[in-house]
Amino acid sequence: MALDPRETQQLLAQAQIKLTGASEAGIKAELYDVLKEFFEDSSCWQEDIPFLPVANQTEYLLAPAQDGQIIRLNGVWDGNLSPVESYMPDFATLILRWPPQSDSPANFFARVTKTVTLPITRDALPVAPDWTLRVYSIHILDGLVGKMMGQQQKTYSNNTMAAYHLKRFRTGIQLAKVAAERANLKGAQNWSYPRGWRNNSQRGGVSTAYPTRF
Amino acid sequence: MPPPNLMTVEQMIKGVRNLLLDKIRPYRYGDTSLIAALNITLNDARRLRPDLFISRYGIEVPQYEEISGAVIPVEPSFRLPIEYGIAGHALLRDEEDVQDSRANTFILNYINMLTGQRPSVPVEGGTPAPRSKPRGSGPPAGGE
Repeated sequence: MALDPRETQQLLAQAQIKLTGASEAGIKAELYDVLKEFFEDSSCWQEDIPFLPVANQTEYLLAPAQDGQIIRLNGVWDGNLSPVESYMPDFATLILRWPPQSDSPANFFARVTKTVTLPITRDALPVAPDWTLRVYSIHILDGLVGKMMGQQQKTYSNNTMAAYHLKRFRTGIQLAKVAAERANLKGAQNWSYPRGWRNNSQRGGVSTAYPTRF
Repeated sequence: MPPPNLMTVEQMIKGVRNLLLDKIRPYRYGDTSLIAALNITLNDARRLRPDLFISRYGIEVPQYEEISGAVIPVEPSFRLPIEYGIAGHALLRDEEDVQDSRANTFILNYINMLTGQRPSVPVEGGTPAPRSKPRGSGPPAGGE
């Protein structure tokens, strides 16, 4: 999993156009921080990690299959897609609230939020999903340019423009956060009944075109 | 022979010698002194622009002991200020007044190109220029 190379080249070129006298190495180093903030605050990089519960065992080590550092546990579901009480006191270590009575016949899966981490690629680029720049390149560019302009005593230092670009970057983070919460479904609701009132059927309820909270 | 492109240590020193008008042996500025100036300039550039020396997991400033074909790992657009920095440092060694002025020019350009700042001009050495005579104190023009 890596950033789209053409989008990356485009991003670096755009950044150098806007930042007179900036080095490519410096831009790439700042890009790591920008992506880290973007993923941490938007929670838009998620992965479902399957695991097979064993009787009386509550602790499971989660290993993401597609790079990245796990920073948040979104939830755990059993084979019937029913939520399972669990938590993650240490990053990437899942603990089930109640030990399983027996070996599970089907995989559970844990949905986690991730962010970029080391190592970086040979080209000094952070490892992140290929859709990151395809979808959010404008916002990432704003974050990159804003953070670069916020550096002091450089040819591209500009506090006013830094504030402008970073504000746009924070807006982009919010957009990505909402889109991730709604699984990129236009018009989806971010509200749902509390757990005790929720069910998976439409019986007794109202069918809508936008059913959903994910 | 192709013009120096400042890629390697050898090319960089050749470019500096062009600026110093020191292209004919025996050189006024020896190899050792220019290599020292190169190393000092790279260290100073790291102070001003550490991003120029970012390696995979840190910041590494290269240092050299001899003129060779070793590549200087600085992006092409930043090799000119490095060349100016070396030339300025080499010229500071001279005691002649005119060299002080040239050294200042090179060093100010070096700093300005790396940081966008124009630092104040350092004091130049040398003998003060002779005073000009005040107006009206000389003998009257013409007359008897």
